[in-house]
Amino acid sequence: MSARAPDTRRATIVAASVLFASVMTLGCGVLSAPIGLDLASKTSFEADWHRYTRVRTSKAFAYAGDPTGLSVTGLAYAMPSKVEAETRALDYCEEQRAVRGIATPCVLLAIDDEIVRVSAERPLPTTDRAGS
Amino acid sequence: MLLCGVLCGLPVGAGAQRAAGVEVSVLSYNVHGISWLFAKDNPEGRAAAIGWLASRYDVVLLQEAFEYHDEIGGQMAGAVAVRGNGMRGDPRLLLTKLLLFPFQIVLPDFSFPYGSGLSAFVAESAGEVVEEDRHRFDKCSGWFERSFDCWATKGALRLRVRLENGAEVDFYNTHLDAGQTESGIEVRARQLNHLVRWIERESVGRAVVVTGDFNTALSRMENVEAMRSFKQRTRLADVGAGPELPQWPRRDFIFVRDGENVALNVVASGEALEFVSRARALSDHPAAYARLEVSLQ
Repeated sequence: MSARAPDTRRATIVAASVLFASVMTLGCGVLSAPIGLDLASKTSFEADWHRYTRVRTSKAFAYAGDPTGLSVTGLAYAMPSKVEAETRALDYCEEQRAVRGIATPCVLLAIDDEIVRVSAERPLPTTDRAGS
Repeated sequence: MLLCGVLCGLPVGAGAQRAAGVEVSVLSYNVHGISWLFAKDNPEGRAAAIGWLASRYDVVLLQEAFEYHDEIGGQMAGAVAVRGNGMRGDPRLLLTKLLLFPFQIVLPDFSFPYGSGLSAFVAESAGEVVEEDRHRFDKCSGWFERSFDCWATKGALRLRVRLENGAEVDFYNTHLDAGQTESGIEVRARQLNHLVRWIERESVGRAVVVTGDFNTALSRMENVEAMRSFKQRTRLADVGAGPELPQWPRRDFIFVRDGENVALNVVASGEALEFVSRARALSDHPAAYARLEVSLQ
């Protein structure tokens, strides 16, 4: 019993030292880090598009604004028909467009897995294409 | 206008009777103020910068100010500080608190598990806080899923502020659960419902501003529908204070409504871009602001 007591004390001291050193190391790392958090590399438009590629048909994706800047989207999915998906996606998008004060009306970008609007000025996001 | 004034039975020139409006700037910001042990950066440094920048606003409503309410408030001279609800009495939280207590004595800024993390600062020059109240949500959506919602005690904070022109406005600040599982969505809907009922009970006929982190990505249809229902039931309107930078994955909200004798007019709204510098930001959320003209009618 008396021989084990110093071992226990030594183990406690070692454990406390390791904990202290870990906290100090972490603490120094935190304090020397630059202030602020990195912004995401992916845009919200890309994230929404990525989500669209994974949701169930009948579905539609509408957007307004600049996908690389201020934009809004409207996603409808698991709808009974394409027409309902289109209507709902545009409705959601228009609601956000009005709130955010974007001048150009919402347009459909995709219906189910078909891209319905692509132009050189507004290419698709670099993430997965619909249906891929 | 004159014709309507006559036909509608209003005194001609009724608009001229409106008392002079005062402009109030509102900031809503999730400051990601968790302990430095979890945040993996220097949140204390961010908190000081946030407080300094936020001090330009009349009413500042923060979410996730868990550890750094005092650091932020320290930069806001001449502001009344109010905190949201504390931790609930859940045995699991109490046990965790007990086990971590020795570390919390030694380590700075480590008070986990948390309360609501809600904070409010009202500039004395803008108005007087005449009433304050807290509402604690009774359900949470998970302990070990991605959102760790149950380790905090989410809720809402209400302040009634009397502005210099005598108009009273009820400010609500909330943070809903983040879980995206089916049960998480259900809990969030329940929390939203509690918030609606609280507003209905406390702010009958009053001008209201509601801000917060609703954790409602609008790429989910159920979230869009939930927010529509919230707006319809409370008669609140979204001021459009969404992010202006494309990198933000989420948006927080500022909603307003007129009262029976107080009109709120949105002068400007958007993302408060001073909290972002090049590719770095002072939080993982965009800061939302609105400038409101508040007039007595």
